[in-house]
Amino acid sequence: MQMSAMATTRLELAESPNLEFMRTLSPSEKRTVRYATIGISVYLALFVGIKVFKFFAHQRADYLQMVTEARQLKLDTGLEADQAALIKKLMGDFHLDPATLSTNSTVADASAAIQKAAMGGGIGLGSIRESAGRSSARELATIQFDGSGQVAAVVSFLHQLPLLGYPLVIDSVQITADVMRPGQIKLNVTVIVLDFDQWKKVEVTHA
Amino acid sequence: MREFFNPPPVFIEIAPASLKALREEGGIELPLERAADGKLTAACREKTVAALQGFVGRKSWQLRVQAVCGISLHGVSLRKISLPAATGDELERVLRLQIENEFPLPPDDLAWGWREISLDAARLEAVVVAIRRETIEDYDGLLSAAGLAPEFTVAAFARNLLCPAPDGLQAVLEIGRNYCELALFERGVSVGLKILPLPGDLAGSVLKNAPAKTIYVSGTAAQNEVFEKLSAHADCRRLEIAAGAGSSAATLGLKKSVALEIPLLPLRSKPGPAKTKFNLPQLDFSEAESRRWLLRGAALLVLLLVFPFAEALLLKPLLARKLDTLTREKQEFVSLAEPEMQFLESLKQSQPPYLDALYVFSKAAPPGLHLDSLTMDQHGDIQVRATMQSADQVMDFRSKLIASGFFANITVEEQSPNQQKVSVRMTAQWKSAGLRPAVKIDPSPDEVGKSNVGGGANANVGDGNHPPGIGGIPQS
Repeated sequence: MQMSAMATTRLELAESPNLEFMRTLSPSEKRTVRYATIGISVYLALFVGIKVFKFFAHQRADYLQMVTEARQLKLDTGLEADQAALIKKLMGDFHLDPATLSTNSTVADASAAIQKAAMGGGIGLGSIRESAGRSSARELATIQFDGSGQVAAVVSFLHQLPLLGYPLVIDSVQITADVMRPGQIKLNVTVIVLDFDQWKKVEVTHA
Repeated sequence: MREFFNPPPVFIEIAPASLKALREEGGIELPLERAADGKLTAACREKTVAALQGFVGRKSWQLRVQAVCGISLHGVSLRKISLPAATGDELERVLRLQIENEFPLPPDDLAWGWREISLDAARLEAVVVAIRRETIEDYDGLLSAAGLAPEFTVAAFARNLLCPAPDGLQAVLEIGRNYCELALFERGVSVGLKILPLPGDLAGSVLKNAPAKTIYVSGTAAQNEVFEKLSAHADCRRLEIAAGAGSSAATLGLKKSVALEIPLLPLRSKPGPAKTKFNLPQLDFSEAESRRWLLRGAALLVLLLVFPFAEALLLKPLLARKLDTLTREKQEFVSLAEPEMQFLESLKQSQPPYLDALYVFSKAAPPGLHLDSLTMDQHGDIQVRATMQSADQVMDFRSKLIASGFFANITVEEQSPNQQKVSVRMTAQWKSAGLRPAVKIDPSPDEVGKSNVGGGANANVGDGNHPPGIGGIPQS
């Protein structure tokens, strides 16, 4: 019963003259549709083409930028090599490798080295005073000591002090004639021990 | 690398019933089947092409392999001709006319080559060798299909190169199974070619056709009997050929011609390539060859345009990775090296020039100066307490210190007579590193001399036991 009703409705729709789903296009309409299709295709081709070209151009620009960076890096590498050579030279000049310095033992070791150098050079050492350095000036400690010896020994000692393998800077030197022992002079030296860790910290904060 | 793109040549001898090919690595021998018209059968062509391709082993992207081919005397004609002396195009034209007279076919239907025998002001004597063009084209098609670039000559000419004296008067006899090839040479140029049938009185035929006193014999089927007969009438020698596939007097002769760059008379079926200028409007794109070249050109153009973008697209990730690595390494280096660098430089710059200052003092010190005390600090402040013999010496000392350029602000803070001497208290400051002169602490030659004779005593400071350059300096 239900099936026959649906078939009747379909038959009515098919026979109805007002229901045309697709009429035949006239030649001018076909031409218009063709032109529109071509136009849209060209537009799409250009649109997509420009997008693709822009993508590739952007990639190429990025690549060229990277090539420039790589060239700059190459130049920097050359400078770094120079820097490394300079560091090596300075380390050789001062007999000092900053990487091996230990904050805890540097002062003790430096003091021992000073005393050893003084005794080895013919300087008789007197009192030695160590005090904490100014951290604002990147100092680890200050060592002050008295001594006496011949002029040659004193000069040689002053020459050796920065080359003992520790970051030592002679802050002040006082030379006085030794009235009691002719031919000898008295020496009062204040030496600053620099703190390499302070440099590392500053560098880290800069980085 | 050159051989990678340009493989070594192949040497080929083409006989009626066989083809021998020789290369550096070895050789092959292929049987040939011919139709009634003398051309190779289709089946034979197919087999031969496949076998040669396998033998040559050329990759599709490689250049065609050069093939130097010697053909048998079958169908080859030789004429000795005389021409009026001419040059260039005129010679070519006269030569073609003469060939047309001498040979049964016009020059365009022949593959031919020529070689000069003698030339004087009026006449040119030459030898022309020719064969039917279609024979050469048949071989050319076969070898081209196998990926070879063939060039042709006569096998007998190549055999002559194996003789100890190729430029003499001699005959070269190649004895095959069914026939013999006899070639006569005068001063390296062939003057007669003959095919002698077998079986028959070969020795008699050779002696009849070869007036030369020296006969070189080669060939796999060289018969001792014939050799002995020939030896009885002429200087007969064997051409010793190493055994092996593809090895024959012709292939070895061809190999020798290439190795020693000895040109053999070529047989050409086409005129040599004309030197034409490239003219785009005259190109005929209906021809497949032209279209192929056009396509290649277009492909190259597209490659040229696409390459920069493709390079960016392909290499960008690699470069980015490498840049990342390098940047990271650089940062690591900077984080390690920069503090060390700054620290060491600071250490160097912080070193006060105490020894330099002492040296300058010693140079400026007047005789008899007694140094009571000398105080120097890192900032360059200097205080001197000393006793001198007179006020003039104080002035002189001060003047010298000023003249040294090492110090600034030299002040005599106190100067007071003390018995017969003058006590003085002076202050000074050394100039900053860039402004003060460099001091070279070395003994002068005079100082060295004096110290050697014991004259190095210093009256200025201490007892004279000074390092070189510091003490004992003569005062002006």
